[in-house]
Amino acid sequence: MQAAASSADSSLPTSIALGLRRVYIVPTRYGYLLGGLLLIILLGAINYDNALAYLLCFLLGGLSLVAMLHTYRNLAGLKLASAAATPVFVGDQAPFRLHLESAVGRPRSNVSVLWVATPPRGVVRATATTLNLSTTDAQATLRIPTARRGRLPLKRVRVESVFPLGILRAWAYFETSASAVVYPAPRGRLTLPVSPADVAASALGSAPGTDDFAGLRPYRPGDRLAAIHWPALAKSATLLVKRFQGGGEGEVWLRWQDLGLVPEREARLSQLTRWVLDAEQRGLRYGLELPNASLPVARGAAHAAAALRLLALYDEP
Amino acid sequence: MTARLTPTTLLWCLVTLTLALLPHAGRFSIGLLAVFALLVTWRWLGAISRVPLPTRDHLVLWIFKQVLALAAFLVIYIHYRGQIGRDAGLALLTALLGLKVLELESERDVYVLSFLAYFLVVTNFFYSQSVPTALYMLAVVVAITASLVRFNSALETFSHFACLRLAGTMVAQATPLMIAAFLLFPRLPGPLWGLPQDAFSGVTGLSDTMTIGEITRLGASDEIAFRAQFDGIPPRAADLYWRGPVLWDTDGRTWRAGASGHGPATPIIKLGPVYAYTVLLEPHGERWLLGLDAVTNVGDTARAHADLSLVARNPVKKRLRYRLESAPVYAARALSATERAAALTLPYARHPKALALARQWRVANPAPAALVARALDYYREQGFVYTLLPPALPRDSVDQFLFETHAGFCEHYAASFVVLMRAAGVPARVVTGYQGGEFNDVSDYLVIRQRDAHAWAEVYLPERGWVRVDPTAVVAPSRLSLGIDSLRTARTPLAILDRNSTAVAAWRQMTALWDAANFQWAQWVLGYSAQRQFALFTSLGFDAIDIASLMFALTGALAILVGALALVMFRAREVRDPLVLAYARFCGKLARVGLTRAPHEGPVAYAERVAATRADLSVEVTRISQLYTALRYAELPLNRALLERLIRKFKTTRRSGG
Repeated sequence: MQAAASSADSSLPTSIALGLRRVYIVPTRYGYLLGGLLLIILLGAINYDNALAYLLCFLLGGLSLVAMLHTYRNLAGLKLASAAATPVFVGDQAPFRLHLESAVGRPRSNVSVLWVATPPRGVVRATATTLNLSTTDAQATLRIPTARRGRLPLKRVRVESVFPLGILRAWAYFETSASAVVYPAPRGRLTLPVSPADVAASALGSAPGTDDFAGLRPYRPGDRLAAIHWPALAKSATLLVKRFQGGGEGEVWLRWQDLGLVPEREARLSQLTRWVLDAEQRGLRYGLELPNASLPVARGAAHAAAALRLLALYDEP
Repeated sequence: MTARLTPTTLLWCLVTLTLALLPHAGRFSIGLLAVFALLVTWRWLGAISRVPLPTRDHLVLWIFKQVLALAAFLVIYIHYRGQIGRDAGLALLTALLGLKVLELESERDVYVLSFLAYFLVVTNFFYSQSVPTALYMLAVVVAITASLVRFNSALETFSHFACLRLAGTMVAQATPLMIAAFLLFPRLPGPLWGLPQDAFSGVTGLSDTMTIGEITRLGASDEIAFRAQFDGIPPRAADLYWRGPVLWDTDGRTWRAGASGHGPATPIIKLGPVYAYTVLLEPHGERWLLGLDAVTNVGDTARAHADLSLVARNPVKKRLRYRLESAPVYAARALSATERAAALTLPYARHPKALALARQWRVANPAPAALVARALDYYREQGFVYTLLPPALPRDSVDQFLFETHAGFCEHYAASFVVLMRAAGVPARVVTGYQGGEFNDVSDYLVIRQRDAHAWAEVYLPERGWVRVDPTAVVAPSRLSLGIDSLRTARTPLAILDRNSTAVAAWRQMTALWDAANFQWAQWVLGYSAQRQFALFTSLGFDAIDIASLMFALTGALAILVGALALVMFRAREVRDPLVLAYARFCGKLARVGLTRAPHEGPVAYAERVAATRADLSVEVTRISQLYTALRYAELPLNRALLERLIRKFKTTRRSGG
């Protein structure tokens, strides 16, 4: 699955400089604490008519206002240069790689990048990573949990910062069209549907191994007795030999309609996913046939990625 | 977002807290200070070595901490006798801070302690509001802010200096906001609640009682008593008698104001020019005020007594400004029967020798004026000397002074003279106050220090009314013309220098400058009150100043200042680095031959890709990229011009072998 190449459209760079009006800013709880303290100092200053207490109160108040500009500046002009994710299987975390740039070439400190899921119940801070854009650009990877196959849109990335004083939090959102393709979870106990025809076609080039059970083929003189498939002999009176493989050249069609025994759609997709992975691992050439699409017989990482992608996006709007 | 507390962040917290507490060092017991130092050191050792901290994991130490806390509170309670005043509050705060330092661990603790450090800065202002205190505390505020910056810069990538620089910049940017708020925030007259009982402990100054020997201490004090700014030319030095409490009653040793002179004031007769001036009086905790003898117009702050002394409505607990008019040459003829009786009363069976001497004079010549002259002659003829360190007078102080020691200062002369006059049948009273003052050339005002405190006598002559007689002037005329300095030269470090030398002149000039700064500070910063705020805005042409309009103006001013700052901050950053522009040109050249730099591609990755596709360009591209990376990211001191030249000459048309 590491070999699966990122699909073309999920790596489309999206670049949106944060506009000036898009940065929100509110005090943190420490900001409110400082506000309370300033109120106490002010009351003391009034009561004791202490000029320096007044001055300090106003200096710290002014500092809070100045901090607002500094906190804002730490985010303003930040650019999300690109966002892309490699595909993952359901249950894994989709690693969205974000590339942030400081649009005006100004270093930033302590910028958090987070992804906020918005389920019906409030806000869930899913994941966060802290950046220092001391070199004006930086990479961050958000690992977002996946629950279902298909396309997982990133939608919004939140950047926030409390720098420099921690009394104010500024945040802003990048709207992004980036999405990750989430493959169905590879599941199912059915073995690869290797038909005799397939076997015959592949018999010539296959390099027999002993590791994995890879199907049956007709007996040839010299085969070990232990390899003979006795149940098949009992059924059809043909002498078949169990074929093992450490990297063969077989060919197999993975068909949706072959899975009549698996009634549920997602389970079928999971089974097909399992098969694609198995076939790829054994080095078989395989084709995929779904009700609405099919993939010709081929092999290799790109082929596997295309197959898995078809499975992931099956019936997706 | 939770930042980890690293040893350096901890050190920042501990150092700033200690800096804020440092000026308090002399203000409470050394024991409390030692405990605080111990706790801070303990926390620091806990961070850098294996010294265990009193967490719940170390039960013994934890219990020790609880016991320590309890003991600290108990000791403070006992020491201050349960009074929660300024000093006790500070001691409690210090103990709490020390204990809190031990627990310093989480993000919350860092903020709470930093904010408490800010609060600690304020507590200093209840002891001192001087210019040095303000400057020191400004530095402390920058340090505390830098500590917060340090804590909030992720991974502590900010150097110590960078933290201080950013904090300093922010404080500087906040200063205009502070000034605007200071001027515009509506000031309320009077306190919101009571002041603590000990708010004015330890304030020295003249008092309304006089026991021989007490003014010696004042004679040595350089503290400022008050300042006076005359509208025009000030009177000459010999006329600068600043009238304070008038003392009528004596028990033979201590003189008190009593109530005899507190009747309603009667107008005096001006016999010379009238001077208008403003007094800026340092707080002394009493009600009496000072004015140039004799005040003809008391203004609206002061009230005059029959004996020409001035009082305020309330004790002077903060610096007070008031305006007066005075006529140094005047006649005060009023003398009620009560006053006459009080001005002739002597304690029973005291000063027998003095009384005998005075009666002897009266027999010789009963005319009051002649008696005054006779007494002054006595001081002159008997070899009296003026000294700030008189011998002790354990028995009858007046008799001992007049007939044995013959040495003393203004109090001795004034008190003994009044006793002689009363004994001779001339109504007399003691007047305390200040004499002279130092003229500050920088800001045109007079500084009157505690060492200028003086006491003199007044006698009532039937034909002239109350007449000032200063017997001290007879023995030490220079005390009046040159000020008390002339008598103290032997004890000052500058005594070895000639009084008129350049060094002394320069020194005087410096002290004058320094005091002028203090005066402006006291006038404009410390003395900025509801009254002054009102006066300021009236002088600017606003007539209806109320809280709502001030708040409105304040909001507007803050909005304008923040807006202006934002403009400066964000405009300045729009100028792009020429380096980035040059590199953009380089990328543009490559883009024209189809090698566009992807948005996510860093310079190095881009160069590798270009080199892989166009082997002919690889040498140049690699060189430019390396130089650019080094200049831009490592900020190495390399030749920027070289890079720009390379980029200018860079061509994509060359083919290998072509």
